[in-house]
Amino acid sequence: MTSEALREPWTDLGRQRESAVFAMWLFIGTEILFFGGILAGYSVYRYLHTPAFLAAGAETNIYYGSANTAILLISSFVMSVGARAAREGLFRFARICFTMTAVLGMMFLTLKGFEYNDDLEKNLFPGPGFPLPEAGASLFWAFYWVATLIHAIHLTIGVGAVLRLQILSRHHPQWLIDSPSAEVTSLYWHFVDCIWVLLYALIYLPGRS
Amino acid sequence: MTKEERDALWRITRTPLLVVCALLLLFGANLGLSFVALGRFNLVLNLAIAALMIGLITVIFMELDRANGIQRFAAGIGVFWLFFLFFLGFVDYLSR
Repeated sequence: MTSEALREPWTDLGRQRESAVFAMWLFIGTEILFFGGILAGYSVYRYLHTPAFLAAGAETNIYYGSANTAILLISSFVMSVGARAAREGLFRFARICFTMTAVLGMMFLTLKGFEYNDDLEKNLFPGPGFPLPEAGASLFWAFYWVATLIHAIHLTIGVGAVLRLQILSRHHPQWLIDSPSAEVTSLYWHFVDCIWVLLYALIYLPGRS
Repeated sequence: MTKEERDALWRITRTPLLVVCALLLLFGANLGLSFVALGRFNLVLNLAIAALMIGLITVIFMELDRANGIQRFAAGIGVFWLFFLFFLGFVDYLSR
């Protein structure tokens, strides 16, 4: 019997899964270079304006940043268990994990919204009225806005992808085991988590000591 | 839930649970160390711990440990070119 999850040009689900995971890793490779360009820019400017970057880093909200880091790490754990549960045929448990992952992702985005509001109230946006006098501090904050917004967009897409797993497996839980979607979505989610772990070290931790 | 399902659940949860505990400990260490004045070693330690966390996520959560050769190759290729991006980006500053 041919599964509905099987797509052309593959003739079996195993090969389809291998190809999908391979393709996702290639996509992640392009994403690494996408974020890598931003991080390379950050690194050069930090090298040129070290004191300003440390002063600017100390102005970020460590409470929101740390809470969001913990939330994303826990969400990665839940997503990982969900993908493994789907593979083992524990569909109900897998779907609970996907729901929890999406909720944790939305919690992250909500906290990020509060943090942005807090930052804007302090006028920490490069341009007129920017409060930090050090030359280069506005470069740090430009990086902050660009990098965290791009990350938030990625996470929003991730929440959508996880909800897609929920919707498509609602009436056909077997789809979770046939389709590589759970595994591929899981890879994407963890990658977005990895980016945040790096951003946390570069944005929230400088200038604390 | 049957005994088989409970056993399967424990089997798939055990390793990720250990890893997330390690990740939360490393995250706490990274946060705590950033408040200790270590000069330029703050950055080195913060990035080293972040790299360790990313390593755990990629190997265990992203299951690189059970990936086949071509998948591992694809996973490494982005990091390979990232090295050149940073190396060539900094070659001027570091060689002055």
